[in-house]
Amino acid sequence: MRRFSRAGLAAVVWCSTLAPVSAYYHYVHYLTRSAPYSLSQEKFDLSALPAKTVTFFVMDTGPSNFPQNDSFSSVLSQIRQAINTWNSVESSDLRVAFGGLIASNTPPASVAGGQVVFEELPPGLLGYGGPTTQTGPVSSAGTTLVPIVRAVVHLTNDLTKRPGPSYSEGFFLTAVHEMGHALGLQHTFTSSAMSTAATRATSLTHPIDADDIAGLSVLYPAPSFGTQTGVIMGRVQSSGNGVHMASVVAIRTGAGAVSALTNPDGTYRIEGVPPGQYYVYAHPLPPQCGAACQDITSPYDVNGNTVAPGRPFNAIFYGGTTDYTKATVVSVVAGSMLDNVNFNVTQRSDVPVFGVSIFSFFNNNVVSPGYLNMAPTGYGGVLAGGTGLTVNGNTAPGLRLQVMGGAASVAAVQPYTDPNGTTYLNLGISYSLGALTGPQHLLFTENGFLYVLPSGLNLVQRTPPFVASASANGDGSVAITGTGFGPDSSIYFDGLPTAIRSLDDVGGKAVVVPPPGASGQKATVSVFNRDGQNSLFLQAGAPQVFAYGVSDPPTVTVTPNAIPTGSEAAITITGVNTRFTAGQTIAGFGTSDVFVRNVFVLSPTQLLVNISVPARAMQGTTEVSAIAGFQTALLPNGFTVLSPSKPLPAPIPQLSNAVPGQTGAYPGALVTLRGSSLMTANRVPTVTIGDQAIAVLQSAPDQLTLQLPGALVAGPALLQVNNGADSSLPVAVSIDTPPATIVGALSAGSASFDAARPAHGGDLVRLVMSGFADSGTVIFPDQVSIVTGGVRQSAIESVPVDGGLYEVRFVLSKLVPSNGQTLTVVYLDGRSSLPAGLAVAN
Amino acid sequence: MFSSLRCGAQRASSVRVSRFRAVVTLLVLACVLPILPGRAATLERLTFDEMTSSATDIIYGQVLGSRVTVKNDSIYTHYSVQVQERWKGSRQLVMDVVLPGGEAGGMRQKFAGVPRLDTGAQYVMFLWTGASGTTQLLGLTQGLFAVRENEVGELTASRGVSGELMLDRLGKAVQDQAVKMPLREMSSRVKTIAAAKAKAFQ
Repeated sequence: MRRFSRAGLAAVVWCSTLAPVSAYYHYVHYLTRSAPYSLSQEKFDLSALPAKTVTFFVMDTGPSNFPQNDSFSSVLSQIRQAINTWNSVESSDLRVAFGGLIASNTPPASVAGGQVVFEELPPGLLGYGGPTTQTGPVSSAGTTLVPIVRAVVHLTNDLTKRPGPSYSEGFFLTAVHEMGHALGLQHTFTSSAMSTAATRATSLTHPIDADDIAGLSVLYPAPSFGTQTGVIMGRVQSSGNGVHMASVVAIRTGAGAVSALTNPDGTYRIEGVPPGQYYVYAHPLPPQCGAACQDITSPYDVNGNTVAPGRPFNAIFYGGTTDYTKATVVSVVAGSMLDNVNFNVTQRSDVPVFGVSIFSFFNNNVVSPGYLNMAPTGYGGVLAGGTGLTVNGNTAPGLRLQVMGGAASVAAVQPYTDPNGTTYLNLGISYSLGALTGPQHLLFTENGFLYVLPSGLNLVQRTPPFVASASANGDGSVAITGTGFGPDSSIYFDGLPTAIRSLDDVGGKAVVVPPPGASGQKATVSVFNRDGQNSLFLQAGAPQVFAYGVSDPPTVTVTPNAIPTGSEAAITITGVNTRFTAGQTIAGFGTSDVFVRNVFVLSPTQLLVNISVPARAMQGTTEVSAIAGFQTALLPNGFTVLSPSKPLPAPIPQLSNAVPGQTGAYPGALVTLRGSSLMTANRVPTVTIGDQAIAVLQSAPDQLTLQLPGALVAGPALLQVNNGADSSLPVAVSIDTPPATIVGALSAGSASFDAARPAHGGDLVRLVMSGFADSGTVIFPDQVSIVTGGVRQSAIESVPVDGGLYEVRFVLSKLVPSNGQTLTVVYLDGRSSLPAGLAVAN
Repeated sequence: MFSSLRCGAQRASSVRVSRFRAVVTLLVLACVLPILPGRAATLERLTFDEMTSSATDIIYGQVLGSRVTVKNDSIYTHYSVQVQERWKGSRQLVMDVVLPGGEAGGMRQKFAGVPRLDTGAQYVMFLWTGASGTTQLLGLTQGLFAVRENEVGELTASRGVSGELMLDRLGKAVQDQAVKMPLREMSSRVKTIAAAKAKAFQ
């Protein structure tokens, strides 16, 4: 193996002002006719979305045909989880929300949003998704983009057919995949959620991979994106000419790959590469059907015509070899860019190997990618299928297989032809005892052609979980028994996770609190382990179910049920037979023109919902849905967007601490309130929270600075602004609990740091905290940081001590200035303590 | 080189060969039993026989033109297809074939794997009309064959492979296969299969 040669590469600091030339698997429009290329992508315009959030709605008609024990409630739970998956990408600025149900007669919304619809699909078609865009680039907020105005996911209305039933992992992953298209991602070839053909290797516990995260983050980069990951750049050329739409992949052992496509001149730029040591390879796209059907939509040129891909070529690793052990390894550093990772490839007429799947078998169930349990023996078997692996029922001449990284090796290959006449390869896999578990990348070489299948095989160390029983306890919890549980197990009822009250993985027992259920619902109980295995591997044909009791149908009413455009308001939703539960309840108003900012669960039958209706919102009546767990309450024509009478004050219901470095809107805090029309000329605005008047310290039309009363009670409270002419509609703000306080600072020897005995850089400091966390709370080091004199430091540990106090331990940075009593703040999950002075000296 | 194992001493190898054969046997047994999916899908691969059986109409026709309709947030392109030969199905002379996506009102909606039909082009289409009355292509690209003259002037129906995720009827992920055959042969094959199916139901 050749190590990374710095002579050929230049590592330069990331420059955010570089022209965007990352032709990741997005929908791309070139803005220039020739190199150097600049481009625009099809994506949501974050500046036009409320809180940078795209909200997906599900058509209320739902599927029309369900298999046994399946239901619309289960379908909604899976779609909700799929939405949460994309919303969880922290390096992306785009937030994705579930908005409940939508009626087919809803007026078209002015705000971009997404829909999931169920319709009659012909045999052979199971689902599809994609963006609806304007036809050409536009400029917005200083960037050029092709705005996605709607996103649509179509799924079959007959869940007795694939990808149903909805409780299967397959349905969930289909929803994730199609939703990725709707957000602006095309297919990739890295076995990620967006991978095409048969190569996808994601699971419910790992629904998206590094490539998906990079792809979304390139479109919607959060400020941290460029600083936490690196960039690889270079060119793919053949006989001196650039190769268009070559796929270049950065891959490392035991983890997912990240990739990009080349521009017409062969240049490429892979962004979002996590730091580490990588092999980089360039490979041709699988054959496409030509213009009639392209699984990758080619980029558009400046005239709006598609630019065709280059010819196929022999894939190679960086370093000019098909043997990964001889390839040049590159080192990716966060915030840095590697340039000149170039490839000289040899063109050919075809792509002989592609679309390979690896299968494992559990009882009568087939699973892909393959899983091998290393625990019982030193070897195992999987099946491989795909184009180019076999010829006339035999192993293709010259075919060689390898597992990248040495954790396992392909010890034997035998062809197997199934009763339908399709020939697969039985692979005997051996692995060394002590080999690391996790995804393994497979390499296929055939007469000089290289095909890489990332994450085709998973090495695990236990059998899949199995659910033997699920029975109700008297207190509303459910007892689960089975085998193959682990301390990392998650237990799901249909598509929703349960709250695990206790888990005895050795004894195979768990007690969980199930999500609120629909009347008479039979929820499939499944256990998912972090290694990717789940109980449906063994029980796909007859999964364990839990039957919820029969109850009266839930109904809701809404107050107020109409507000004008250009408003912020808190809406009260009152339910009958509802079981609203904090963290499991969403409210929706049936259109992306009514944005739900947040939901407060006041009781099992009452919600307080902050909504925002932009000035450009379409007027009309929509339906309201309140969904708690699986329980769905629907109010058709329950809400109306009115025409504006006159601009009212519109406070955004979020109070931000006005003191630099401080967070939280607690009693006595100095806070800012943003919004529009918060004051009028020469008038002093007034603000109330509940019945209490609030001191307004500073005022501007778009921002007020307030002093919260010390007597406020933590929790939601209604806030109203009068700008001197008009009153806003009430909005609900969250009053936080008082912050933690630093009550002492001790040395390693338990002496107090003070002016006489100040702390020095490198000292262990033990900060004694009051009101830091509830007694017994386990706090992990990465939840806590300490800022001293403007220098952020990481906690070593946070442990409970006597008297309900916690002790936060850290090593004082030598960068902290010597400043006598240096202001120190401790953050727990981003929430600040009150500042305190720490004696520091050099 | 993979027909034998390459690990350790001969005795160890033979033991492993024996165990591996046992694994292979289990796999083979597992292969012939009903199985369910462990993953997602977009397309389901249909054999030629399955397509012929499932199709409500199989035609050889020419695209006359297209129009779009919008339903909720979805755009559909309706292709008007002049039937030149009908191999299966009703007697309509012009078929309205609906595919998802298209352009309407300055908006473009597209989905991976959905074919684009060219006006004036000739195709063999395996069509399916469901309870809604909408006529669609079977399995998107699977049910569409472009018709062109080959180098000797013979009309040939062909389609490439789809890279879209495909499962077979048993849930196994499979790779699509390219198809190319003379139009006359395809017609004959369709009619033979359709006749056999019809006879089986008599």
